[in-house]
Amino acid sequence: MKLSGKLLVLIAVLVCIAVVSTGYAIFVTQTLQNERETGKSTTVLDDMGRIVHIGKVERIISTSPSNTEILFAIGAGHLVVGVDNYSDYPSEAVNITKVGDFISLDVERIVSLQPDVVFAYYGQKAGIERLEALGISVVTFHAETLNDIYHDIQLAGYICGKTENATNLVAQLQQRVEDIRSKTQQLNDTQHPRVYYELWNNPYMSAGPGSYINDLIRIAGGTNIAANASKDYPILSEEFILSANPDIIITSSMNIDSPEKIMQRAGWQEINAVKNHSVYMIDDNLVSRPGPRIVEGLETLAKIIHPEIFGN
Amino acid sequence: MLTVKNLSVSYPNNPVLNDLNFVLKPGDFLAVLGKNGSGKTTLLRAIAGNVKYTGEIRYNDKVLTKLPRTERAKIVGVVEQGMSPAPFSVYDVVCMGRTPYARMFSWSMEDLKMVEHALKKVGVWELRNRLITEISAGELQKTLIAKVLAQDVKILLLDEPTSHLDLQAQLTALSIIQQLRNEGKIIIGVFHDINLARIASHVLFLARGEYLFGKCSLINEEHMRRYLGVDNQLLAQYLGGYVHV
Amino acid sequence: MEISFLLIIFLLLLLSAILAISTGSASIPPGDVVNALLGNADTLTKTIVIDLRLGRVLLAIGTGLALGMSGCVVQSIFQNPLAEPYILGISAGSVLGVLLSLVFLSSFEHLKYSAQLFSFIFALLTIVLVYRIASVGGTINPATLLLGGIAISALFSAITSYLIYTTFSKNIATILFWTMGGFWQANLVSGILVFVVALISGICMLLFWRELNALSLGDHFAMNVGVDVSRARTVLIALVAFSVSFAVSFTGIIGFVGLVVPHIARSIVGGEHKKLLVYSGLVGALLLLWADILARTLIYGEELPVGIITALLGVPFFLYLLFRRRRLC
Repeated sequence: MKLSGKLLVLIAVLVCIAVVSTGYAIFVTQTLQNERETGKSTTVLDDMGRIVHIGKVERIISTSPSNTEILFAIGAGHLVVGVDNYSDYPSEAVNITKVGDFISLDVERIVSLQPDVVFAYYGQKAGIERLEALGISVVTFHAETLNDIYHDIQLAGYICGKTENATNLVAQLQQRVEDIRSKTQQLNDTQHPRVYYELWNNPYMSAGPGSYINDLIRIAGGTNIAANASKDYPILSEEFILSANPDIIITSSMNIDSPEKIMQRAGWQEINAVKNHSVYMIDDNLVSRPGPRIVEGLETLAKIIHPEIFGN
Repeated sequence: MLTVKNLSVSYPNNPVLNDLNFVLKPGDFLAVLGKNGSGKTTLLRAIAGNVKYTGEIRYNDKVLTKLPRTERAKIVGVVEQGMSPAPFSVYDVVCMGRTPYARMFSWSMEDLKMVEHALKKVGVWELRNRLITEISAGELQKTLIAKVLAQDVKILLLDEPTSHLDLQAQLTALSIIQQLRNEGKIIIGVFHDINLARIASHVLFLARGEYLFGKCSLINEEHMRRYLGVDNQLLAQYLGGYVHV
Repeated sequence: MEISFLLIIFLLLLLSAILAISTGSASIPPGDVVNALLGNADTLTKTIVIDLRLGRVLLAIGTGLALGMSGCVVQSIFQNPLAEPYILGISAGSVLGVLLSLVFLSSFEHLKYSAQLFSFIFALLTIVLVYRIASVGGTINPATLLLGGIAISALFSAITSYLIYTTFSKNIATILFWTMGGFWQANLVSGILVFVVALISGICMLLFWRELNALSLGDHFAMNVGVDVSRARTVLIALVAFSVSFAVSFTGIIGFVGLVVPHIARSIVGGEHKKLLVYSGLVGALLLLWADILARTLIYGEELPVGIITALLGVPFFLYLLFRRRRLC
């Protein structure tokens, strides 16, 4: 194969075809986009620092369970026309049309549902890009602390025209948190039981700094044995767990069926938590979803960690 | 005319060919003889340009190493001893001999004519649609000869081209070689069979570090003993004076 | 006889494409689909049919073309029936590139297609790196290339694993998508781009049909008929790297196609590369198109990862071919 004249002509033709067809594709896409542009008068700044233009808000799609919970909690549940596969709370959410999960979104279904705005979550970049390219307003939420969650509730309220509901909800949540914090703050260091939260058992994954669970344990008056780990969801060695000798072990049904499974582990019998049968199962959605129920999760943890203060 | 000057090839720590010099004219047939490991295949590789060497190999006025690969392939052709199996037909393999000539997307009419001519000359036309994985070793060797014919080269390098052929096929091969000589091609062949070597016009004996080049008449007892390590008495004893020297 | 076979496959491809455009989570009657393609429909339907579905079909066909033909080329260059396009580290580089774009470019969250760009750049970078390593000491031979590719892949996989471990919770969605592959991100522009790039690369690969034929029979055989083996190999690897990296930047790593499609094609048309390349491309396109259709329709309301479907479709066919060959012996 030589670099002859014929070859160059062939390559030139191919490149022309490439340029023309791509140009055509861009033209068609742009035309469609222009046809879709409608008056979008409101401007919001989302958690990713992006400026999003929104028009009327009558049809909302949520692509994250926490967003769904927030929407229902502020009284905007009737506006939700589509949710992700994992949205299961409240029970009304189960019957709403599903639009995919965090790995792949069903873009076609989302488009055909004609949403006015999509409530997305941090980490869904590809999906967000795709939807925006189709002219759909996407507001991205991202919460790492309780204050972030309060902010998100307010943001959702603002967008849906439910600011009053949102403000009230945030006030209630703050009060409930303060109820707990005011009591645990008075405890001194020795009164903080050591808590091991097990997310997964093979390998042992816990919750470390940066995770909600870590913050909640702290506010609830416990010491998370993984509080000084290197990342938010570290993998702990069995040795570390045994030597940390937690007083309380908490896990969920996502991990194992029953506390007995943990208590029967070889070599774990000497752990305080096992000796005292202080192994508890909770609904992990209460401590992993950055929505209003996180406070319920906090209350649950508080009752487990300090039953003497908060009851059982 | 093929001119080989000061040809030396050495693999790391292993000198194989040492300062070879010889000249061949169109129509010459050179038989390369030597024990295993004496460098016969290396010599063929050097002329084909597949191995690094010092010295100069020239065809007429062209230095082979300076030619682009396709030009070199129009001058030098090789009948290999074997190759990796793959699901090609005999026809396809012979067509590959036209690789140095072909155009962008297809073989030209002339290419196809040469291929047909080569297939018929060697006698494998009937086999042309059979897969090379399904034919005998002899038929494969004939296919490779046909490939080199289609390649239309000036110098043919044959690495034991008749080792798998039956007598009929051997004679066909030899007659093809003779025809090619009459057309002015230069043939260089590695043979183990002394008798076949004797139809050559020239002989090149190779031994570690040594060589002897000259007319075919050089195939005699003394040289066979010296370069091939053959005891002619043994030969005479077992083959009853099989070789006439 | 051969022309008719080619026509049949083309027809199959066309019919499959039509089926794919008519399938989707939004039910659109066939009449409306045709109207939308012609421009006579409301914006919503046009968006779905032209931007999403047609884009998806083009992306699937383009990726199938690229993977099929690249698999064929790679198997011939390395004379190894187990070779596939991600050899030499393309997949490892692509995944690492995507992760790096997520981890370090978080301030560039706004940069569109940054993941695709990084995937592409890193995949190509990997090939260059492997070539550099392999050429230390003079000539490049296939064995050194393969070993270099294995080494770099292992290194990049380790770095990737570390990044996954440290940033797991944030980037899990992207990572999972990238390692399983899928077409859900397709739009008209990306579909046409991938299709055109695959087509051009494919035609360039076709230009090397004689070299590929000769190389299949061994390096020496190829050299003897005038093939510049190292140059041909380099150019062909560059074409493979370019087309596959580009496609993979939009679809994630779809495995198995590049490995099994050339074998299927070879059992239909034999080893001659003009035909083999074309059929590899067409079979690849068909396979991926059907994998996409099935991925969207097998389970109502859900989309399965394409990589699973290609294995489910390809393996039985592959085994059947193996079985048939065995019996012929």
